[in-house]
Amino acid sequence: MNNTFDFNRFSLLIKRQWVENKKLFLMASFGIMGISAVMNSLIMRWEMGSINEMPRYIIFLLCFFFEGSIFANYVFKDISDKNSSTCFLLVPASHFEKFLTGLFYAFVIFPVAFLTLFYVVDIGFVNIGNNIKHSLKVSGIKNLPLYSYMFSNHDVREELGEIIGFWLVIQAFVLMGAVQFEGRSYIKTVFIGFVALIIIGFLIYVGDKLLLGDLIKQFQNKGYSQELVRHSKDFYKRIFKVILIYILPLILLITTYFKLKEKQV
Amino acid sequence: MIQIENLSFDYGIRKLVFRSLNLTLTEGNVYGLLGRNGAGKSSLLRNIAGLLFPTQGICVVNGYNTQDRLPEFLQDIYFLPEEFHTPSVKIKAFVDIYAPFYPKFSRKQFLEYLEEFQLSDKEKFTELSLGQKKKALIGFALSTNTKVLLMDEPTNGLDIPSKSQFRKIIASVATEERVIVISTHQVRDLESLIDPIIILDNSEVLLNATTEEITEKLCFKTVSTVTDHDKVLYSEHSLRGFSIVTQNTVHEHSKADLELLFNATLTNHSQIKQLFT
Repeated sequence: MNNTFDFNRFSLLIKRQWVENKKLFLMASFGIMGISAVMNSLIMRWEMGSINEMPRYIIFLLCFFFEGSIFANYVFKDISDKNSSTCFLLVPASHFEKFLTGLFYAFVIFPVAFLTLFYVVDIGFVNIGNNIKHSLKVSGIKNLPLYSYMFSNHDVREELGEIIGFWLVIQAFVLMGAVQFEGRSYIKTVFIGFVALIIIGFLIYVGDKLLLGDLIKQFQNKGYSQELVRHSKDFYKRIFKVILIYILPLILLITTYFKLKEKQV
Repeated sequence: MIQIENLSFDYGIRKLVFRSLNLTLTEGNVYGLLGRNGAGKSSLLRNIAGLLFPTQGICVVNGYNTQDRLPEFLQDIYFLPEEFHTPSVKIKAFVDIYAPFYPKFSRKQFLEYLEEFQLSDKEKFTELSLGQKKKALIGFALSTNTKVLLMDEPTNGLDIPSKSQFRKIIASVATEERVIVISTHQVRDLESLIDPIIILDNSEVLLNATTEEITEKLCFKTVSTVTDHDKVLYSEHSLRGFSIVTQNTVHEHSKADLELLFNATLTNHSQIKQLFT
């Protein structure tokens, strides 16, 4: 018997999560649609049928991050209470399978469901706006669905990798908090998150001003060209970014796995 | 088989629960785990189930280190805690979700237990009383047909008919291949069922013996007056005089009274321990 991963056990865990929470998931889906509908209706200029992209984009990001983190916390809600944790830890499946189930819901199911629901509402409002424009015979550009805006706007497209990376960090951090804390795990995770942000901010400041600044000064004193100094600065910043948004989620997820493995109730 | 070797466990420096505990529990027995509040009964069961990890020593069940919580180990052990969680689904849905994890689960057996407890699998857990939920979980636990069955205070919350149904059912599933460990305060409820008896106190096992061994070495009787105080290990007032526990030096036949035994063990630690080692 494979004690690390078995697809049958994994699919049973996926099923278990769905059956036990399907009502809540469906209610949350209506919630997502409701929130985006309310937001879109507030943004839309009904008299002209136009709907501005930038506020929609900001609302999209806020909902994606906030609702995503709540969902990620909920995925491991079984571990935040002694009784449900006992039941969860004794389900005959490996820690790895239980961990993967959490990842599957937090990193696959949530984004797919969220993007689908958000864009369904978005396209609905875009069509309503365009119909108003058409009926009023307003000349000008048609409203675009948010995804078209995101992929056609150069600045937004450039940011996309960083946004996904940052989202991964938040999701991984919340998952870790859900496994680590017992009771009110979301609030505790948010609190620790703020403390971590302050520390990271301080480290960035120290790294940028003291270490990088000193290095660049040395380069300048040695008479290197401004071009080289700029390139070096960009290089270090890129390394920092890669560490923060790609390596950090991995470290957080590995930590979450071991926390789950060592969980005692 | 459950083997506990040199197991120490604590909840921090100030709360030592076990110190170098050694215990072997074999198949074909329904062990009764007794001890006062905070003696570590639940902690011991949780160590056996792999929910708590020893600070020292090891706990091995069916050849697996319980701390690893491997699927192969988990599918042959079922732990019913005193306070439990039930999802807000129908009993049938619960069985559909969890039964496939246990290869020896019998749906037929489960439905029979439900019938015995006058429950239906169409009922929703949220609509059941605590006792009914417990009965459904007891039925599920027994239907998993795991080699090891751990139950923490299983009769708490059960009504009088359910307690006798519970005894009947447990007696019917106590096979030669199975180890059943029941932790309880309600010794009267399970007196006829549990054998051997394990008494925990002061971070150690004070007694681990079958009722036969107990009655060989101890005598339980009711007397009108207590005369030979030196030989009496424990005495208490009863309706007909005094219920006493004495050393059985003359091979007298008596029926083990678990409540008296428990009190005698707690008041006479060293003597009882000496007798049974």
